[in-house]
Amino acid sequence: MNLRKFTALLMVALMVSPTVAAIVGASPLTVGTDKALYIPGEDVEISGTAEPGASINITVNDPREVIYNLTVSADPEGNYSIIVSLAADALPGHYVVTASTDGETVETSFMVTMTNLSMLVENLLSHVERSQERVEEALAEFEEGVPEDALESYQDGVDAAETARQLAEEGDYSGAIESALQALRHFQDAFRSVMEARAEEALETAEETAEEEAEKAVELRVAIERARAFLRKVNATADRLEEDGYDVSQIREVLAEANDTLARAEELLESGDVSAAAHALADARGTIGRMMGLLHSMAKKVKAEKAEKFVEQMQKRIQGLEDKIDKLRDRLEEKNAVRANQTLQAVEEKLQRIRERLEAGDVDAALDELDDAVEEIDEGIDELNGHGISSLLKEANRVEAKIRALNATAMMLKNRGLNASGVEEEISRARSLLEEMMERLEEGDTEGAEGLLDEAEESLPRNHMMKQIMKGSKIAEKVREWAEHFRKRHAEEDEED
Amino acid sequence: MIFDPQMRRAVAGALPILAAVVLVLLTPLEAAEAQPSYTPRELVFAVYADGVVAVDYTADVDPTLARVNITLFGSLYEDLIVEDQDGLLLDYSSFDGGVTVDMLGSTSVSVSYSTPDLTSKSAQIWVFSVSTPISSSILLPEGATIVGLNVVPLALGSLNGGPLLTMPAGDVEVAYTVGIVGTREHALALIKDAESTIEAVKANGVTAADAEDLLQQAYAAFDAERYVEAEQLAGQAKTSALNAEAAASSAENSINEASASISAVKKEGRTIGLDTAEKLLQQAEAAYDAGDYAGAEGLAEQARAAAAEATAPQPSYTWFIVGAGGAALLLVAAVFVRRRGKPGVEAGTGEVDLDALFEQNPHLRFDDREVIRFLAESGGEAFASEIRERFNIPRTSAWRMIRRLQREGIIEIKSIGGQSLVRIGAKYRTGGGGA
Repeated sequence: MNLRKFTALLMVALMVSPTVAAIVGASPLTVGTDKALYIPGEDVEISGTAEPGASINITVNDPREVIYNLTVSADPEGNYSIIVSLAADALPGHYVVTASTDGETVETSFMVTMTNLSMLVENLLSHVERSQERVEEALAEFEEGVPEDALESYQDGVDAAETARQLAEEGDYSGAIESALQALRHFQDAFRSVMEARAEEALETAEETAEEEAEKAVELRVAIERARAFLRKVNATADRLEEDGYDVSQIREVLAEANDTLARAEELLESGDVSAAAHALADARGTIGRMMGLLHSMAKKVKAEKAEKFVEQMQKRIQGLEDKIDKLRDRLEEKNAVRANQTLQAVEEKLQRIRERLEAGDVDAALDELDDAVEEIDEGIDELNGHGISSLLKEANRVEAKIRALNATAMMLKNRGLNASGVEEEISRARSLLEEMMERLEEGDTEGAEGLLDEAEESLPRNHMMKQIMKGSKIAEKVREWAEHFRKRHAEEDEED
Repeated sequence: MIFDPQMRRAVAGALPILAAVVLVLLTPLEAAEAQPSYTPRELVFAVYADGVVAVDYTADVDPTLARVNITLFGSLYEDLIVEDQDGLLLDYSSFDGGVTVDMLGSTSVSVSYSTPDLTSKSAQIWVFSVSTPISSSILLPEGATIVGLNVVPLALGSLNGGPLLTMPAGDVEVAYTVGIVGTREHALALIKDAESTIEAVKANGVTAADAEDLLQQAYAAFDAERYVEAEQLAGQAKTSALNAEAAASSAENSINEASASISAVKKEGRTIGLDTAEKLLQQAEAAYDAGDYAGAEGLAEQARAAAAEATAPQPSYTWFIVGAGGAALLLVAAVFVRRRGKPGVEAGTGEVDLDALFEQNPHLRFDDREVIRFLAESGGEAFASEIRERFNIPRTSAWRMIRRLQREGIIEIKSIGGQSLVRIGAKYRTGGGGA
């Protein structure tokens, strides 16, 4: 068995066997789970062995972060076991379980997938089928001398696919998925063997030459397609910039030139003149390079304006913070409040200098200082050091900043003739929640303030505005639509279940 | 303090834990409080057939920040555009593994770019691999077939003829193949191949009517975007042309052999029945000319068989006299003809402008030029048999060369006394009967 095959098998084993850690680790400490695949809401049994009576620290990480951090003790036989529940809205993905004692750490992993597996299995099986067909096509190209190991892998794949189908019929979707993935691996091995055998033959047959030619042409076609998609995106960007009053005539000119050159490349490719098409594409890339330069200088212009607004906002935020500190004076230690105010005043002075720099056109240097100033505001709040007040104020500061940005977006939507009333309502709701939060904080009800702050943050509109505006990227949009459609189908099936 | 709803849910989920042994919830999860400067929200990878991946990445950003470092996927970024939540351009500078974006209060950032770094290919198998902080959508190229997944996808479907996967956060590896068969490009490459094969076959004087017919059908299928069919037809056209060439070559051999047999039999004096053989040979040549190579071969074989069966005449005195007389007459006639020059010379002679001829026909082969030179030296014309003798070339080869030159208008052929007289075309002759 060659190394690659071994590694592949090992990977399958790792994926399939939740108890592999028990085999790999030679030490008494082991960890495993009762299954390899779970759905949200299910219980996960974590078990293993350790020194009798040892205390074992167990952490469970979802794809993002630690979700459990527990300690268990091994019984006199050296076994331990614990059951954790996955939340109903547990994040799908790869989970890692780590068990550690003094000086020893072992790991295992499991997958959490979406609630409804039947559709996933169905789709996966159809992909397995296609994979099988692809291998069959490749095998059919051999009149004789089909590599032995290719046939073997192919047969293993067919068997695994059959098992997957049977398990799916029996309703064992987790099992079906595991078998389906195994089948894919076997088909991949088979395909690789066939392709390697073909490369060894190294027959420069006409068909292969035609394939190579075709590959070159395909590469060129997709490079042209990609460039087209990019130009569409730039076009949408130019539209938005224009709506905001920027002069984009130069960008449009270069854009048109690039489009024309791409059209020429397409025509040449259509006529089968691959090398001429490649030249035309290279020309178009050159034009796109020029366009990137223009976009970059445009971004710098946008930045200069944004920086000025940002400084204004920071000044407002500092004033707001100073007001809040003033209101909360009774709840704070005098010297802390003074120190915080001093820090904030220093930042204000700095902002004044930054303004001057911006006016002088030295945007990048101004930005370096702005970046520092942002941190200094947080440092100023930290000076308060008062029972959770610091972090609450920082968070409130962020929520306020979000509200301001959303407000600006709502204005922009209105300017473009779009309906922003929903957004405006949500913004005003968040604002009143923030005010209420401050009142609670003044009263000393930190917990109540915290709850209101969370509520305010969650009430802010998030994604739907982006969808209205992001029209540039075609593929991303289609994928988004598809995901939406998929979610709906999922929901419907869940209801039926 | 717990602000992240995800974390709160996780903690809530932790409550109904059934512990078999002692259980302590240790860290109150506050350790992870350090606010990330951005939260990834949406990630789409569109994989193209050349292995380049177009990435669309959106993240929510803390709006109090002036600058944010965003970690990207791959290390080479082409056509990189960074925009804020309103679709306005953001300025950036890149570092190894990502970009520093001047956010200046934006609430979200959308980064799009292309990179060749996320795929690799060996033995026709592509592998897309990436490590992501959130679940991602991966669109594979049109016609791609998945042959391996390192984790269970969250969802699986297809879009625009390409597989579309939603993969969980973490390390993702998708192996796939991209079939070239059935693509427009492959069909075009096969058609071009068939075209050049047919051209080459025709240049050798072989008729490939069936092949040309199939090629026409292939064009039609291609225009109708039925690429698989076009590929098949182009393949058939090529095979047909090659078969025609093989059949022509085989027929040519048979004709040469029959011709050699007839000559040999003639030398042996076995003349009875030889006329049948010669007639069959002529028919074979006619069939060859018409592109019926199988027929030509059959006739040539019959001619050879007939020649083999030819017998010598009985040596009878009267026959000898008649024969000798006839032979003498023929000899005289032949000498007369040769002496006198070729019949029709008076109509066709004139100086041949070889320089002009060669200049106007730069494609002429060395052999062609030699023959034309010979014709020019022989007063602009010669019998086909003379050319064959002079250059010692087989009958059909000579005949094919002559036919080709005739088609090109360089020479004319006239049948005189059962022999072919080859003459340089009028337009290349000065004086005489020049056009």
